[in-house]
Amino acid sequence: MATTAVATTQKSELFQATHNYSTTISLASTTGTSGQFTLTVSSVAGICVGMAASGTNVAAGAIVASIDSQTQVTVSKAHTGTVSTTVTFTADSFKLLLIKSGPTRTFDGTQTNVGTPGTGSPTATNVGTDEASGTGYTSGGLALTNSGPVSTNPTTSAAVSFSNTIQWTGATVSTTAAVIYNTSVKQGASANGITANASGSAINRVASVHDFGGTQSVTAGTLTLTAPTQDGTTGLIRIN
Amino acid sequence: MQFGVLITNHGKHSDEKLAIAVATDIVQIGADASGQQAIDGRKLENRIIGIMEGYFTRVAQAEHDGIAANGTAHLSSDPAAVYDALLDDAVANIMAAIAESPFASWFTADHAEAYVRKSVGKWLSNSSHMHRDWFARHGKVGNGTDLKVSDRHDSDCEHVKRWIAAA
Repeated sequence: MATTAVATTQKSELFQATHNYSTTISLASTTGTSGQFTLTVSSVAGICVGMAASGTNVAAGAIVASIDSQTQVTVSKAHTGTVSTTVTFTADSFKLLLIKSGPTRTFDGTQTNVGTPGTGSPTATNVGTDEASGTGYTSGGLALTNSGPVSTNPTTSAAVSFSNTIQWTGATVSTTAAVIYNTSVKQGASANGITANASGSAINRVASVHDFGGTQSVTAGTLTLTAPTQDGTTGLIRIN
Repeated sequence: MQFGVLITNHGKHSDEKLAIAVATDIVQIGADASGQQAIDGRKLENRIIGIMEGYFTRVAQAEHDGIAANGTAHLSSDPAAVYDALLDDAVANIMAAIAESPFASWFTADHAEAYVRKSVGKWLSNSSHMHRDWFARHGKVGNGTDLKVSDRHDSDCEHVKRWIAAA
């Protein structure tokens, strides 16, 4: 069983800048000096502190540390060589997994973490064996492509959505709900069972739970999920 | 916050089923709707289904032709090149159908046409992705449930590996 809801923890984490749904930005002709931390870009529009930066000679794991001017940002790691290329700025990575038919746990806004999907007893910090399984479905679900948050109708609201096709082919699987979660490292883990990586940072935090209104089963076929209109009335994840 | 769910067993969504999805997106008839307005809504849905079915057939044909001509390399081609070429025409035909319906005044705002465009674009994109995914993951081509094993598939090809890894 599941209840459609934004995870309560995500609501508080939004105030901590823990989730960034921005769309990916690629800026051609970005430049930087070997061994330095600054990048000169054509525009900083849409770039946020914390976004990952990647491109030739941009250090692996570099993130935006500060926005310095309309055309300059500083990243967290020194460039490994002269930067003169397209640099891509990437926000958080989200995924969508499916909950099986007849789960042992009720999934709702109290779900904080997906934990280790497919493994372990289902709890608020672990979807565990309540994740769907079957031919054509890979544990952990599908990667989502951020389409960026928008201010929308009604004018006092904002909503986020994802632009890629959410679809399984040749699939035999039964599901009752979907869980959207953030696979990026943005927050230190507390000691309440939240899945952490080697550095002790929380990963796989739940953004939202989406009930399907009953069991949806597909046999050797095609299962497509379509996101509602990205607005303040029907948007997948929204603030009114 | 609800996802729409579209399911087809033993194959791909048919062109008609995809067309129905577009029509349902655009003409949202309440479960409790009745009377002439509900009838008119059904008529408009049917017109949109008739319009869109042909476009989904064209997407399918373009995808199948691309696979036949280029094999797995077709997976690296821009899918938008297929459906973007159809989008303006499809939206214009739907808007013309709406203009001839009793709901014309409901769709005069700019954001109404933008909504139609977004829905049509989304489903044409879904269709393109579906044909490519069936080919990449399962080596099958064809429409609806009439699928056949393609002799152009190669599971060791980098294009196939990249496609699968992207998800």
